[in-house]
Amino acid sequence: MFLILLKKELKVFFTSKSNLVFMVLLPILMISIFGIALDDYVQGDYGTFENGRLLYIAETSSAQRLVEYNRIADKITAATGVVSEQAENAENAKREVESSHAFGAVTITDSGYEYYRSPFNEPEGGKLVRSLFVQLSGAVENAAPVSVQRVTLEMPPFNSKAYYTFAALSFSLLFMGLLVAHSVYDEREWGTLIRVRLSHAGTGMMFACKIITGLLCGAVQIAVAFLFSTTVFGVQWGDLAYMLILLLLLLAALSSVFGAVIGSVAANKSMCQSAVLMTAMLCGYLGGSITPLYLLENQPVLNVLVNISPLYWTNRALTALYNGILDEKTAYSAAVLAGLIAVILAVYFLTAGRSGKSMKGAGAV
Amino acid sequence: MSIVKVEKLQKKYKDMTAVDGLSLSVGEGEIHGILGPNGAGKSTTINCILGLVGYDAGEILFEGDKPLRKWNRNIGYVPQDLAIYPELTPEENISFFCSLYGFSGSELKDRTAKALDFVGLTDVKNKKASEFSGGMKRRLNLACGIVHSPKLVIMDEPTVGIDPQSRNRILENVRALNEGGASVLYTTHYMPEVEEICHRVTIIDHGKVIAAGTKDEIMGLMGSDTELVTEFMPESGDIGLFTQKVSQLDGVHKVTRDGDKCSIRFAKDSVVIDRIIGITLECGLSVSNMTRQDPSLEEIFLSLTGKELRDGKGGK
Repeated sequence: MFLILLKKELKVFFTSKSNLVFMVLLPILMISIFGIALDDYVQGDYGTFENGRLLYIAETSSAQRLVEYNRIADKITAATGVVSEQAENAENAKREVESSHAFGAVTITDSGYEYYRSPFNEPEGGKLVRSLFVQLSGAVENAAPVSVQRVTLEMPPFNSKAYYTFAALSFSLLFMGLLVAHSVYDEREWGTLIRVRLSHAGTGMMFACKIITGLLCGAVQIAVAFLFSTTVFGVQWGDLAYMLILLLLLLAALSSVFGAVIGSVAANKSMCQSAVLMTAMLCGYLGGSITPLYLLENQPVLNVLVNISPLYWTNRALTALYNGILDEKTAYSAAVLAGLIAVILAVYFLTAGRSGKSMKGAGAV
Repeated sequence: MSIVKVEKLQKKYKDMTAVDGLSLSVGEGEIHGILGPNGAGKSTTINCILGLVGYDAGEILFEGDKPLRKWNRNIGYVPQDLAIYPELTPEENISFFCSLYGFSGSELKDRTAKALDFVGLTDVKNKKASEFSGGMKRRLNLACGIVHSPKLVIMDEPTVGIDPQSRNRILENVRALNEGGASVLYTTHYMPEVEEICHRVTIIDHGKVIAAGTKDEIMGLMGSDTELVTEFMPESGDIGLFTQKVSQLDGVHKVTRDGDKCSIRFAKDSVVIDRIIGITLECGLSVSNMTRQDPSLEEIFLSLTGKELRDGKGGK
């Protein structure tokens, strides 16, 4: 029975040319437009050294090493105006660098220096400071037993095309909810839901089929974005591509569930459409799908509001995964997406259950 | 045995009582019409029978003592609003709804083909339903509701807004379904359809049963009255005086005037026609047409409820 319903869903979905265009062209258009148009924003190419800071964490007992570091830092300050400040701990320093409050963080150890730069958005000033630091620490190294360790930064090139491959794709996946919402609403409007309800299948199974159809369409969008970004923009999805895809599929599932619930409860088609579109736009904007994340995180009010958007958590995790970092960001993102799916479904079924109870009172189905 | 029995059904929406203690019974092999004006409670009653809305009191049982949840696969529903997928072909639509009842393989194909043939859509089985005319969509709607051979077909005003050919085809289909063994519960506010196809009728208004029975039984509710409709030549005499004198005759119950036409209702066994003719001559009137007729269901409905079935008597 489930397969019959799913087959019908896919047939109805793929018969519609507008659905196909929406599914295939939307991610390509969004990745292209944002990726090309917003290159400077992602590169952070403005106000090169303005208010620049270089953080350091002293994890050494060697006074000589600290003196050497201060000498390097003074030279950097003299050359660029970027000041060196001691951070409370490595975690805080990392967070400040990632949110563009500092160009980099240097951990001073007995064996040398570890320089951390943001994997998301290293601005031009940051690149120059890092280059200067490497040169200066190299000079020190030649003169004394000091070494410089550059941390991890064997990363793929990060630019607007890479950023928007994921940010615009996740935005596009949210819009998939609109197709699911329309599909569910149409079923109510056409009256076909009543026939399904009277048959063996029941509406719960149909609801599940709509969500799975949305998920499959999301998978197609991911595949389209993968092919387009790798062949046209040369974006490498890297070793963690499977995690990127899993996270994107989870987002597609959330989008489908949300669309299905809105389609089930909306009083009319206009309301159905507005609810999904407005939610997608809001989540997209706050989630860094239009404006790069680091800019949002630097705005006083927005840096709090961004937390309400599931796309914010997803885009953070996607950017980290693209840079080869599998950390707590991925776990947070997965938890947020799965949690929201659970909450939306629970609210829907509790509400449906309450109305169902009133029906059972008098013996209806 | 009743195929469906509704006992003292009550359904309220906040302060409004949509169905108020309604009882009806559809016998096996019967076409049962539910007749009522807009807002009478027909659709609410159907929705309660189908389990689409809950109800506050009463009982609905199928084939004796079975509740809906154990019997719903025996119901075929043909709603007033079309319940088809416009982007699919008739064949795909019918096949899909049939497969929801567990049919597959060659049986599914056979049933689909028979249903297409039954409603006369075999020639266009591969066209999209969205390209169909209103009448063809209604026929497809019917086919989707009956393809699984239900014991009870519930049809909610299935001929609203369609051309006469499609309407006739649907009425023929209803009779054919019934001859094939299905019981039919048919709601409408078109009196001629009830007179044409229904074995029994339940007339409802304000959620209550006003009258129920066969056509003859309902006619009997009007007593033994008959009606004489007389049309006069224009400006040929005093029609006002005529109506005044005729209404005073023994056995005449009601006289209504509509321009140059008068309708006189009187007891069948009274001898008044001679005297009416006499009054006609006295008033200097020339008769252009005179017909005697038994009251129609429409008139009976008007008499029972005090209102017309529809706004305006114009055809569909």
